[in-house]
Amino acid sequence: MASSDWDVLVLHYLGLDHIGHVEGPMGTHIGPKLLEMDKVVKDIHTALEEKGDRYLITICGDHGMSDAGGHGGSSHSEVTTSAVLLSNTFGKFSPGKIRQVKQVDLAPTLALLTGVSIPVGNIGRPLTEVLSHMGLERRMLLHRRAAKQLLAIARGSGLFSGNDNAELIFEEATRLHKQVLQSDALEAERVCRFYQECQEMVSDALASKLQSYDLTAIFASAVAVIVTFAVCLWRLLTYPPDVREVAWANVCWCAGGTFLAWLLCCATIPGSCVCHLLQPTAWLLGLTFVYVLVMVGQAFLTGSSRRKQRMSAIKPLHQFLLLGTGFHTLSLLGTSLVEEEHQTVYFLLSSLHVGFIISLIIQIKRKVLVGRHDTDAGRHKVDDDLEDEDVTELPTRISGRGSEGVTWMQTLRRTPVKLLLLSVLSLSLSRLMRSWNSTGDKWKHLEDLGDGIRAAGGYVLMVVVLAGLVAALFMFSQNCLPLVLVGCTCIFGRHFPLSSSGGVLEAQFAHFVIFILFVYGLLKAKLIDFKTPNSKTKSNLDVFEPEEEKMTVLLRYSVTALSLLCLLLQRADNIGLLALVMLQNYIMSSVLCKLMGTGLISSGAAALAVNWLAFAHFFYQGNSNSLATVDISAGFVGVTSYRPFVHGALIATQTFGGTFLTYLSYLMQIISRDAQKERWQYPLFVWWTVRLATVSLYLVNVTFQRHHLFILTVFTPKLLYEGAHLLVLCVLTLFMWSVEKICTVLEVSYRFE
Amino acid sequence: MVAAAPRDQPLPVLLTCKYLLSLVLGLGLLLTLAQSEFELQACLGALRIYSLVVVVLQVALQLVAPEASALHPGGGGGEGHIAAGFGKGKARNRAGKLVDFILVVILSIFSVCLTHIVTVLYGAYLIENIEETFTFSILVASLAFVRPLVALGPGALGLIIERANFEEEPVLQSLTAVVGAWFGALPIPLDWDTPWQVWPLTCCIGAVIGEVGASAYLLSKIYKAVDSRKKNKST
Repeated sequence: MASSDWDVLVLHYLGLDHIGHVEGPMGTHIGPKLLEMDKVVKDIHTALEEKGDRYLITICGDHGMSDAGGHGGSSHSEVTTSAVLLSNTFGKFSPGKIRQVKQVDLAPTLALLTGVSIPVGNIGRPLTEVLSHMGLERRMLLHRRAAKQLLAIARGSGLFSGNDNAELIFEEATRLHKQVLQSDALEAERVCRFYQECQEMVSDALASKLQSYDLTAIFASAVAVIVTFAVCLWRLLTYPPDVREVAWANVCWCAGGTFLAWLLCCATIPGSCVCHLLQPTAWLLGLTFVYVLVMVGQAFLTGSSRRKQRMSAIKPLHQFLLLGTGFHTLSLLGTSLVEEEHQTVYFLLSSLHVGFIISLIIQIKRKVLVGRHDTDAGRHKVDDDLEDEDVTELPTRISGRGSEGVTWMQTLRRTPVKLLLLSVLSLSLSRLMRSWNSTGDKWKHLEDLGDGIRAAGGYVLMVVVLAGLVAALFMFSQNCLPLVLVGCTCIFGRHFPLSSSGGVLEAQFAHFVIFILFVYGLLKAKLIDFKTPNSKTKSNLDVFEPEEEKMTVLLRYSVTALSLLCLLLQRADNIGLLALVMLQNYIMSSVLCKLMGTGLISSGAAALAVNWLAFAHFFYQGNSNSLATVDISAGFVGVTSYRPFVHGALIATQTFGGTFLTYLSYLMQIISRDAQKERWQYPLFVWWTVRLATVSLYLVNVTFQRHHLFILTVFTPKLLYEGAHLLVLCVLTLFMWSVEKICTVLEVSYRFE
Repeated sequence: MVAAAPRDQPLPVLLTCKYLLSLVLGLGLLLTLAQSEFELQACLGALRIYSLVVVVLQVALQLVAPEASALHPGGGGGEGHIAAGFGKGKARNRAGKLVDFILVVILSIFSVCLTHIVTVLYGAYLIENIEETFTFSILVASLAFVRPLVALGPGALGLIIERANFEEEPVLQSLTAVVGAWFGALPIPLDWDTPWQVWPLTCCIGAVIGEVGASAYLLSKIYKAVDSRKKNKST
């Protein structure tokens, strides 16, 4: 303080903020801290007074404090703080009432006072009271400078195309300014006031433009998503749907109605991007509303007589799945739970596994106890492995009972222990996979298994990659083993290349092999008709529905090809993880299908469980709800020149491939057991409903919180991801639809032959 | 019902004492945790002591009044099973009791290990924080598993599954402790950075709150039963 070799001193005191976070604004330490701050200011003031130079002390806060002590939201007490300016040049200036200014006004004020030029792009205006000590001429000049800069920014951002009141005021002020300078009239104050008015108009206009949202488009989109969700929910509740032909007249009426509504909207609220026909927003919204209106029309025509009784006996597992999904959706309303969404998903999934295990144990024990009541009611064995022999002995004991008991017993006695072991295995796999890549925000910096493997490098990495590829090979061994083997070798070669191209040649060859595999799958599905006598091993192959077999084959090959592609695009250590993901897919799909068969869970509940699983697999790979975790390097595997669409497609495959594979494996399991369209379309409906529910709630929340501090860092990236998940479902639905169409068309052509 | 009435006479008093004691213990523990301002080592010590006291209480009650710890009024069949479970006839009584005692001890240890494994599978660290995870498993196991084992003998699991009546004492207490611990995991990913969000405090507090709730509910049930019996007697 005493030395004179400095011009500007910046002091940043963290104590008050810290106490506020820990104790809140009414904490016991706040008072003493404020007194301490007072003393600091007093010391500085005294020292500067002693020095005798002209000085300015600016005391301000960077943000306010909420009642809980934190900040970051958009409440008044959080975004408002105070600023005090002390100077010995201000003269006898008694502080009157407190004035509300914007934080951006500080910069031009300090700039003008110190002689530094106002920062480029600054949209604030200087505080007039602070400049009041200067001479009139100087003051007019400074105000003019500030006004001119603001007008330049406004012109540059195209703000005043139609409304140039500010420009007129500026010209008037300039004219008066020249007059004052020439004739020394007493109108200097008026000149300053004109300049200030001009500054105020431009500054306010620029500030409001900074945070303006196209509310019409947002509102229309939110409404569109909500009504689509309502339609989806209605269709889910009245499943299976009544197949009625949609009359084209109805569609035209709905389209006409939507067009009229659009005209009305654009007439009343111009300037929204909904009204520009060159942008896709209007078309997408129009299509959505037409679809919704057509569906609503159908709903009225079919009536509500098809409401099925689904609420008859909701078991605890169903309740847990429904409540868990609801809780997961609601948890997205808080920023910390959006950042740590993976914790929610992992927790729910582990609880689901434990729920399955407990239900299976109860089922096993109940059947044992029912059997034991006739015989010796003495020793009860608790260990599960000892129960095995009891379970297998059951049918002989209760063969004298009712017939319906026997079939239930026989289906259950073979599977429950196996299902129990599989559930335990799946739970262990989940635990292993969750520690592979740490994601989210709070614990992301902690070292995880993937980090460890990468750090070890060398042989450890090679072993992990090999293990993953061998596991994949075993899982896909029945789908054209040679091609899969070649594919896996190429993937291995990409990371440990033998050629001099550094793995690029191997990657390109792998792409080629995957493509060949998919085409082979198509051919194999088609060729089944032509080799009817000795083609398939299924004894109950009904010649009237061969598409059952075809769909399964096609889906199997698609899953294989996609899995190989995902394996190719992963980082080296993630290959092991992806193999485990595919293993868990297989285990959980078969467990869920078998549990559905025994009636422990309904198909809707199983679909919800698969939804959780898909999300867990999304997070296991290291993805999170922030854009920083997208692996860009995956877009360049085997691609040597810049092709944006190819890169985009590969990055999308790598990011969402795990989720897509989970959905697809589950559908494949269902179709391989029973290829009725209703059986495999139902999970799709469930997934669409859940996704749309999440998106509509989230969209409404984001719209309300659009002034939140974290709107661009947390909320909007999550919205982007939600949209991407919807697109994944779109692609899945289109894929299943086209697979079904291919198989049906082929069947028709077979019949005509 | 009439035959059961004279036998029930000493029970309400004993049961009331038991539930009141567990209620007081639970609240005491919560207060201790709050008093220590959630300093981790002190809290872990307090939790371990609480688990031990709970188990000792149950064992003491079992020794003092074996039929008091049986399943609540309406558990006539259960007692028959227990009598049978404790060995056939008086000749085998002592040996049978010893075997049962050893089995109960082994099963208690097994349940603690099982809880620990399940907690690790839920996401607790395998190697770091092993002391905290173990304290948590001791607490949940003693509240939810050891007490029914002590009360009902080694066949506790089978009995509970067979009965599956959520109003009765062992089932309710186990369930509320486990469910409380489950709900206690919800504040963990929030970024408030408060001292009580450290693992395992939230889950332990949840389990204890569940236990306190169960004791309060059972106390109210006894009060209602005694009340209705007084009304029956007066009329």
